Amino acid sequence: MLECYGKKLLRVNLTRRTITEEPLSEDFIRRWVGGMGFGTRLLTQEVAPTADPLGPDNKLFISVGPLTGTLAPLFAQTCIVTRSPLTGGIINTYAGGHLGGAIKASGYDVIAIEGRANGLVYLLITPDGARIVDCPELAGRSARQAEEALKMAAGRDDLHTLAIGLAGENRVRYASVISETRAFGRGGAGAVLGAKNLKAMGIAGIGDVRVADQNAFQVAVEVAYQTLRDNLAQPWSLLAGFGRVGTGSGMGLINEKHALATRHHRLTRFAQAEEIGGQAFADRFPTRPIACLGCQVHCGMLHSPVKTPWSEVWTRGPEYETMYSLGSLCCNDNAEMLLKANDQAEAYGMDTLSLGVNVAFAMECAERGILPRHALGDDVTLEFGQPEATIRLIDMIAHRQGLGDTLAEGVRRAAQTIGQGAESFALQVKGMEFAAWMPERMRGIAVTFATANRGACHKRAPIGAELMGFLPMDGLEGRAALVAQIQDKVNAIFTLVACRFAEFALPLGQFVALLNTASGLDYTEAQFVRLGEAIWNLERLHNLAAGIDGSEDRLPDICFTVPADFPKDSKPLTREDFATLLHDYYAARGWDALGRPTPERLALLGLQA
Amino acid sequence: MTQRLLVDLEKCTECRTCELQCSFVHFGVFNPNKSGVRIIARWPELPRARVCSQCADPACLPACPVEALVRTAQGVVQVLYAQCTGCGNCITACPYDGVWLDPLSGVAVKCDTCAGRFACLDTCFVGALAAGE
Repeated sequence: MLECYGKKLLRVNLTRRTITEEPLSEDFIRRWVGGMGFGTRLLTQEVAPTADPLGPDNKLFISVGPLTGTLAPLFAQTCIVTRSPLTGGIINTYAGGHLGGAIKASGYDVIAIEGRANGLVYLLITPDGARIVDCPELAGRSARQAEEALKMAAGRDDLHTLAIGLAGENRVRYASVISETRAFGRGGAGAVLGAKNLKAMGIAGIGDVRVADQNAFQVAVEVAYQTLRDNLAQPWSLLAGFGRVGTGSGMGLINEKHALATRHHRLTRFAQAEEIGGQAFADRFPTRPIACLGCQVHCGMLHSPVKTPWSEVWTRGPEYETMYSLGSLCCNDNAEMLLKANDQAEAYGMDTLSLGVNVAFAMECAERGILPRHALGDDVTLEFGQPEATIRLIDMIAHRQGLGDTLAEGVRRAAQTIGQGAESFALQVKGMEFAAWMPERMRGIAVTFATANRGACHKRAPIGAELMGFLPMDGLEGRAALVAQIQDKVNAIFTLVACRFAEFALPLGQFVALLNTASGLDYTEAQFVRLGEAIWNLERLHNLAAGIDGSEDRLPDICFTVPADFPKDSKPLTREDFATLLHDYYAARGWDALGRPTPERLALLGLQA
Repeated sequence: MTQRLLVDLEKCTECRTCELQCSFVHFGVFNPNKSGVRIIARWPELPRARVCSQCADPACLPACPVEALVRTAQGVVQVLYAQCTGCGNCITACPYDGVWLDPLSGVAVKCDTCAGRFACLDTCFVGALAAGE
């Protein structure tokens, strides 16, 4: 029973410099399953909703799941849960690659980071033991340099790592945590580690990862493999496109559908979209796909070497979301610039989504005359479609210099500082900058951007169905309830810890079969989705107590201004539409009119108010 | 001539599913140290593969002091786990880094071709693995 778990939590207290092991009970494991479930339950239990995200009382939980490190395909993600310095609420953020397998092999299901070290340190966990090591020499170094230093120090090629760059050390509110060729992007987990003075972590393990029922698990894996093979063989397969040229494979289609946010949401289509899509990068630069552990989609495009006007780089990306945030949103059509910017984001450790939105915001402010056009220096103009301005501003943000210091705070705070009406067009919800999609265009996005616990997040939305027209983009009927279902389902699979793309191919029953045969648990599909709903409500309760209430379930004014090129055959979002959607959403969730979970709903989910 | 596992490094995506498959098929657990093939990332360069070359005149065989290495009818060198003391002589003798120690169980691990079945090929979607000479 529960053979696929280490059944242990490693607690690292940076203030006291203690490292201790704690058992995870069978009840806890059965109830929360892993990944996002473990992290959310632990954070909401151990950290006050009012704790300063950048203070020593915040904690950061790194969790793997029952299927991590097994043959189950597309389950390589590691989950970080913490309080976000960007939103002031709870955040869950994920990275693929090979870190999860190493954590699993070390025998830990969760690594808890708490307190604050009195100088810059790294954490090394190997079969020889776990230790906290002072590393003042790594201050200011790129995430990659820190990871390489750790690997050299450990002297083993089975060590996998995570690290922060200068942005995390400077507490840029959307600093990311880099893990080799992947990133825990959203919500500022990098700033949390920076505030704790934890520069990097390296982990290696020699343990066996087991499953409860070898034969049944093997059968479930073979079924999943066949499903994947069938999916990848389809000519329209999204995953096959990802595997050929990366997540930017859909750029042409998205642009054609007028769903590509351009020029800070003034337009829905970018004339030069094909120059910065996945195919363009694959055609013009050396490209090699690399995969996360146990994954057959291999969506990670590695480009090396690449000569840019600024420097020669090698980089893993850009993702589609980056092609939007630093591309179309800023009117940048320059592929070399995107590669350089991606490299900067990897080196400094910053979420490319939030970063791009902040850059575009600065360009929009300059265009409106509320920021000076030479705010970056006399030799470069702050304007849309200006690659030099983009690259310069990324450096300034990471270093918190000049305008960079204002934007390092995120667009919500930057808009408050800059004033002059900027708050009406800052692309954020609850402080989280918009992901790549347009609420004006797609109703599912409108609902999930406004209601997601981590802010304007796209990971829990019916994007494919709306984009392909299976659901009308501007339809309201049942849309809010559908979004709530997807939010629950995605939460559930993030306990395992599935890649978001797994849900594009595998039906719900296969996730449950893999879980049950690996763990010996007996979840039904309904119970599994209910688990996702319980986790969603735990997050919501935490956020409510943190002061993030129903009044924050809203979209900025800019979302109700119709872009000039809005397609004639579709209806733009109105305030009445949004009010209807929000009302439907609360009803579907069993919450009251102010967006608070009712005692009845909490009782149904086995939670206390 | 004995067939061996061939790894096309230019096709390999470093997913390491082959490692998971190998250790599961042989030992019923997932553990890269118990896999007969190892893929080591060296980005941005191509990865490195470690796997037994199934030598015609293997250096590992005579190096074993306890006769824990035997040659099958197909010419493949196999580890007798019950006999292996983990002394590491075979590892030192091998010029190709094709055998290693599993630190958890203390035995030597290498590719045995699954008696010619090469189970890892089933899980490589990109055709980076092949049986050949």
